[in-house]
Amino acid sequence: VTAPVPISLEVNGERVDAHVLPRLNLADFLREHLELTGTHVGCEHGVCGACTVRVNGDIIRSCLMLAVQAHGASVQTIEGLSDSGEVADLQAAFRDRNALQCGYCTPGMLMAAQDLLMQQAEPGREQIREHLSGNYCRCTGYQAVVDAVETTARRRAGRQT
Amino acid sequence: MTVTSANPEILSELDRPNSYIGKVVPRPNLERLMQGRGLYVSDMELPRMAHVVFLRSPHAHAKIVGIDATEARRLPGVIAVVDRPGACSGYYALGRRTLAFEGPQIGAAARDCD
Repeated sequence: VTAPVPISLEVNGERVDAHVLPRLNLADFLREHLELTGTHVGCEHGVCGACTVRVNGDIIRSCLMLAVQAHGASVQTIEGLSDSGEVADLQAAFRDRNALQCGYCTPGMLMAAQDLLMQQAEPGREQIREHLSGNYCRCTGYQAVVDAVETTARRRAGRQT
Repeated sequence: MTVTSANPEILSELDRPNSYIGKVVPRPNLERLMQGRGLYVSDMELPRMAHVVFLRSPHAHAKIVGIDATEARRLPGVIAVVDRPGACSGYYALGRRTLAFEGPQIGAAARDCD
């Protein structure tokens, strides 16, 4: 179990082939092998949400998934969502509402918020809070984040503020 | 005794035209932070950087009789294992010889990054 295992997957639309140790988790693979350091590692046991990425369309904790389990999968990180412009409006709302300070939790927050907005056109504040309840912020608080997500939902639904 | 309140006619330091108080302050670093392109300490990789692992006591109250680190020293890539008593008698490299809590650091091992 200590020999590297070959894996191939798609990361942000790019095909990646690598040899990884079976114990390597997906977060460390993205950060250390691919240098996609926007995926952050906070608690390392699936509580804080800083490592949230999208695998085959679903958001997951990349610290709780092994890199070998992502073999054949399509992975999207905050870098991918930023470059494609998928979350540009959400990011603009975060900036307008000053919904971040140190920004460590923000990539995970954006991944989780975008996941909710894809499932539901106009979620209520309680639903937004519920969906982001697995993403911890230790400096800004959640009020501004919920405001930003709510504003984005309304704008996407074609209604102003 | 009379309490003299500040004269509202007189402007204070906070009322200077360039004061930040009550103003929206631009945050030029937000864009990169929101794109996951900030640079945090854990994102840095330095030349000859090593990783450290701390061994923590599994016991709530115990006396360190000895630490057998031969197996740790044998592992490939291990640079150093710190487990010797320090200069001060009664103290280990990273803690006292008598442990009063569960979880204090009682040893450390560093290895090169791979």
